[in-house]
Amino acid sequence: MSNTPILEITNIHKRFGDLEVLHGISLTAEKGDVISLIGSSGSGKSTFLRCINLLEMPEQGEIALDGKNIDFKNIKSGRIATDENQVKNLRSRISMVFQQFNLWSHLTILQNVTEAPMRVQGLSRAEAEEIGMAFLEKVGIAQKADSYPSSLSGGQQQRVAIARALAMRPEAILFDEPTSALDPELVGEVLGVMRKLAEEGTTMIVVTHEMDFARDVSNKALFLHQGKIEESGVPLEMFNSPKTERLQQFLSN
Amino acid sequence: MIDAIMNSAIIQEIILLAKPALFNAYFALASIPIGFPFAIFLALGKFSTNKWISLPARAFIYAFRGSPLFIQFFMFYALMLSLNKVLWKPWGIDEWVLHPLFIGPFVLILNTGAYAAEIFYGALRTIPKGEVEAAKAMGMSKSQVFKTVTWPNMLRLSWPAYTNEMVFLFHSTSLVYFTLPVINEQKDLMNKAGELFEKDYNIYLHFGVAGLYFLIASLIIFYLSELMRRRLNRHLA
Repeated sequence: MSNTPILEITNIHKRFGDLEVLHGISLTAEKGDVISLIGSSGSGKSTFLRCINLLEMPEQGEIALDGKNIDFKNIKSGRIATDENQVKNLRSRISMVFQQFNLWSHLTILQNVTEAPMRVQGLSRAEAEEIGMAFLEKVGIAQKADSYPSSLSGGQQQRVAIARALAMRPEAILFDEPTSALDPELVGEVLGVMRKLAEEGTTMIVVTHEMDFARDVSNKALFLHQGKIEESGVPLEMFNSPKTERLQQFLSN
Repeated sequence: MIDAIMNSAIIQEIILLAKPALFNAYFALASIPIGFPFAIFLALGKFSTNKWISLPARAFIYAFRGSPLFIQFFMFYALMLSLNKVLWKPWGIDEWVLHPLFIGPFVLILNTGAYAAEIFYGALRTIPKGEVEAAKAMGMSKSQVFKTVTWPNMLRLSWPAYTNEMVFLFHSTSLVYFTLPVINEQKDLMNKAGELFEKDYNIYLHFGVAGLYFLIASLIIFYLSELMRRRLNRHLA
């Protein structure tokens, strides 16, 4: 085993038009890390997460997966990846779970989970279904395999989305406010699944407003404010004795 | 009894118009299978962020949605005729290039292509962005995203409007022989009904039965289309 971090993100800058929303953010994820990104709305934490798998293209900064940098080149309209295959490779190895679940509504639950492994990784249907069912069982929703997303509650849909991310057998999973769109009574079931994954050593980067989760489950936390890392460290220490005034304020809200 | 029914004016009319109805059916059946993929290419063209692809697609759709089909038939027939000496004759294909059975579907394809393209383009704009993003985030290529998300959603969203377009296209086939020459006995419903009408001025019988054929054709399209709609929406049941 080498000590190369799974993900090494360096000095990310991102602007929308004239507005620079990220001013140089870096993050390193080792195997088994659970990293919480916290901060108020508009702090840039979701944008930063989306830069990691290049759903947003940062104008500056480097992204290294297993020590290998993604190559970029500048064109008139901004920056693009030199090799589209590097981007696809990055995305297929770093899965993502969205705030709005984004399940494919016309596919069954099982098809949602098998689609990407079959298309992207070239698995046979039988292989993909075996893996898919295993992960649906893991998130406790295997009995709904033949249902369509519209017949599921938000919490169930998000658990399917987690199974879909897991089915790619990724090296890390990005969570973009996975419980923010859920009714309060459904938040627990999703956080429960995420806790279980964390205990099993799944590498996770989580944008969240769930402070209990950030404090108890993650081993690193970054507090973002106006596109900068205001404070970072071990969550328990950060929450118990915040060093910056901004974090104190944020936690007291 | 049976003889009496078979000899009735309506049944005689239905039998008389059966062969002409086949010409309308031919025009529609020759146009829809080609017009459909053509419309999808046009819609994707218009949707493209590359202006060198988008602009020509927009211009084409505008031209064919913006002018009467009637005029399109005239213009194309005139264009084909004027090219006869320099192209079709020397190539030896003038016989069929100038034939209504070719120009008819040809113009109908261009026309339905433009109308249907606008329908598909509208659907492309309303495809759930999050579902596209989820597919991208799994590492799918552009064509894989298209197959997984774009195509099924586009078809579902556009299907009711596209059904209308297919029925409209069928009705438009009645314009073919208003503008193009009738060759031998190759008459469609409107020609034949008009010809019969001029003999006895029985407008209800002749155009009524011609209309009946259009109603039947529409019913078939509506029925098949409804089966497809149910299939496309089975996840919402």
